[in-house]
Amino acid sequence: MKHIEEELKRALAEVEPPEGLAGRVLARVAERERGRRARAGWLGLAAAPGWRWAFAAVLCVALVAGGIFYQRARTRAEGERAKEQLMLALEITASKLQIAQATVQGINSGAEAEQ
Amino acid sequence: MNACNASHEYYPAAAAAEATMTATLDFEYLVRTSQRMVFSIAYRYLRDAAAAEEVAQDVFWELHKRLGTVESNEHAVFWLRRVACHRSIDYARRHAAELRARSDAFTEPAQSDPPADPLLSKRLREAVATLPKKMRMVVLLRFQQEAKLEEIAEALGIPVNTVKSQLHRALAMLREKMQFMLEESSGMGGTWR
Repeated sequence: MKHIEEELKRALAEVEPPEGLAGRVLARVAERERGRRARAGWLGLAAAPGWRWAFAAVLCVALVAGGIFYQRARTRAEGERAKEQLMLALEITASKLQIAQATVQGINSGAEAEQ
Repeated sequence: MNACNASHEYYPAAAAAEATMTATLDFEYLVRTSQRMVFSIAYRYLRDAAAAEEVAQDVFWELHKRLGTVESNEHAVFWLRRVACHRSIDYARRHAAELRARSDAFTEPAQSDPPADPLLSKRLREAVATLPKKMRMVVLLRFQQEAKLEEIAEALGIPVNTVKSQLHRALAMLREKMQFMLEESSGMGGTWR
């Protein structure tokens, strides 16, 4: 008669870890920790109290400069559009004047021929 | 000198308690004292030394990240056992095919107290390996770690009654499997209880 519980304790007993496991674990943890710190470095810098104000100030300046640039670009575009409309109006006026001049010249030359 | 150190000049007991706590929660100390437990859980569950080492690496890295929240040495050991169980189950789920392929090259590492009948132990481990995943971990925690039913329930996040029923069913299945194996092999007779 065999007691399965006793046999299980023997069969599933703890084993010796491979040689140098603790050293490898510590080395890998140190390596991962270095990587984690390097990644967190820039984010941590941005989160530091002194840098937070500087970051906010730079952001404000960038927003104001962006707003001014946008406003100027918009005014320039509106000016360009008005200039194009004026040029078109002048071209239309010029062509109308040419037609009128041609009509007047035609009338004058007809009257001279009758005389 | 900061206020904390200054107060220790007047309260040496506090300094001693703090020093003990620092030593207790020293990461290297925890790795060296718990590596056998963590590796053994993973190894007996996965039956692969490389996979067990990978699990142990992850478990200790996780501990390193949460070292600040660990209250005591006992808490750390309990935490390591729980995480080793879950990581082993996850690993087995993710690398099932790989582990099956590697199981042919399975060689038993050294044990401090080798079994009297290595062949019987090998057969028993093979029978345990055929149990469902969670049931296998219940058996492992009970018979390797000699954990109480409540501790197993807490480690695996299942009710105590489920642990009891799983253990009962596992033992019944193992008795049946072993009986069948023993009947097949001529050299190993006897009945199980």
